Amino acid sequence: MAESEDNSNTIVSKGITVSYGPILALDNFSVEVPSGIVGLLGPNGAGKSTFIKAILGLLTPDKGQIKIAGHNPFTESAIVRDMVGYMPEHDCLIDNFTAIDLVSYLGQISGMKKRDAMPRSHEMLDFVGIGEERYRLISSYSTGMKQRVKLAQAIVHDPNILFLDEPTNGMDPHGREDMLALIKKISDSDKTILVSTHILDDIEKVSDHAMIISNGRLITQGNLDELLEGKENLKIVKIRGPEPAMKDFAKVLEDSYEVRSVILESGQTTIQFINTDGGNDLFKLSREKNVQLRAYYPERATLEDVFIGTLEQQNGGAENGN
Amino acid sequence: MGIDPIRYKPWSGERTGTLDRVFIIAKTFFLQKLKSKWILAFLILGIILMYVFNIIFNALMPHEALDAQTMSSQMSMGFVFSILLAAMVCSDAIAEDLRSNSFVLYFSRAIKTESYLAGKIGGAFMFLSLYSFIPPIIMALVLMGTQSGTSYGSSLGVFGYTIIAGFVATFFFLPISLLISSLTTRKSYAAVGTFMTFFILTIISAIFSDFDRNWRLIDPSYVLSIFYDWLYGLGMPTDIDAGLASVMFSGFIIVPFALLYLRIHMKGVGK
Repeated sequence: MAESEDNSNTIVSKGITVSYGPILALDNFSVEVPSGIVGLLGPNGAGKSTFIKAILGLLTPDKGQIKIAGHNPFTESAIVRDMVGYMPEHDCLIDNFTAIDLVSYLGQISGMKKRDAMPRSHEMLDFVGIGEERYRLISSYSTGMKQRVKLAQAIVHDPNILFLDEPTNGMDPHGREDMLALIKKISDSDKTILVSTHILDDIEKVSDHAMIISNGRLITQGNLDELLEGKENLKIVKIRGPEPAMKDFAKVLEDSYEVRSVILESGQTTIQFINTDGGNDLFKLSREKNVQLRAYYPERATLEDVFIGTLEQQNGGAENGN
Repeated sequence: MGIDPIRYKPWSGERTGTLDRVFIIAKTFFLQKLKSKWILAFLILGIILMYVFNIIFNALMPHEALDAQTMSSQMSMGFVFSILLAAMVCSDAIAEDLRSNSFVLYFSRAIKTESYLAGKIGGAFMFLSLYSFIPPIIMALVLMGTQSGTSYGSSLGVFGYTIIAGFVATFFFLPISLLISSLTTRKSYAAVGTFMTFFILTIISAIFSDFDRNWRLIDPSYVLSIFYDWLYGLGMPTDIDAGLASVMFSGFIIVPFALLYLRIHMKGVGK
């Protein structure tokens, strides 16, 4: 832990509880956010925004503590906020500014001198793909352009930690791909980027790590590959051969393993089953049953499967508890 | 549009302090106001009607020194323009940030409620000083420059009071104007609301002052004119409670400021 607190990018929260009157927005919330791109997932009202506000020091928790790179956001808010960039979800740009003026203005409010802020703003607008449009009033911008300017204002002061709230909101498919590519590029400079979105596909494309929040609690978190691999060790085996032999093979598997599905199609059988061991038995069995083992691989769940499954488990647990 | 091939580059410059950041907010607000043709036109009209003619007239009139009576009367003359200008300048100071949700851009940075307010107040103060602070000082300097007597000591005393009076005149209407701007997301509502607030207070004061003269103290303009008379050493009206007058003077500044602070603070944390 001490090592991670020294890291200039780490967010560590321990037992944070935040309530709005009788509503518990964060309930004993503990998490350690690593460097890289981290997906923050959860249904509406799960506590994502409250968590971000607590990190920014805008809310004082009822109990618990948060450390941003070893700093307390409530007592050292100026230090913490200088190292944080925030791209809000909703419209927040000042319409009667041009993009270059706004990004430069916000850079100066973040502590940059004008002689640094102006060239840096041009660089960041170039980076996000705003060209000559930067000299036009923001009120004339499309949603996609506004998203790019929102990203530019969040990174103009080169924060170590970046919060992106629904960064691809309202963007067309091409714009979304661009935005995700930009996020990837930013992460190359060793930052912690917390991406909150309901488009799980986006998280899958860019994140290294994901956290799922529900009812103010951290339900699960982990490396994205581990989460997607699934805890059930779902595997797929594909065999070819005479139909009775394939049926025999499937029958033996059903006796020994938890088989989820058997699909016979175009002379090939695809069997989905749970296997916690290696695949040696399958090779042996295929020889015995005289079938060709064409493929054997772990079934990769989508993040959506993980998300829905986790929330269902959580809700089921809560109902049982009640 | 496409992605520009430029890579993300880190920045490692030196950071400025809080005061510099407050000044940026103030300066940007001031410069935005200078771009507004209507407000500029109104400012110029106010300066011409309230100051230019008076400066010329008083400079041409024989006078031995800069006298307190002249300056106190001058300071009390421009209330209507001061109120209208404050209403116009402050109307979008906070209402626009509320409408566009740009609060979050300020408060996700190292800007606290007091810094944000200081920036907005500073910007509005800079602009209003073009009407309420600088012209009285120019007038005082012109009258000192054209005085026939040699008693510059007393003139300098009045000049000093004029600096204080100009400062107060510029600042006095800001808290209420900004408070009303923070209560709506439409700048037109804020502008009309500010003017109507002062207007209604004046009407109520006029109605009830027949019963008790102290009712006049709920009129901010009257409170300010009493302040000028007191400041320039001309005495206070005998039928007015001096203690109550000072409470009202402070109240017109402190109460709206306290409410404004609470309002912005709550907005800053998303409540």
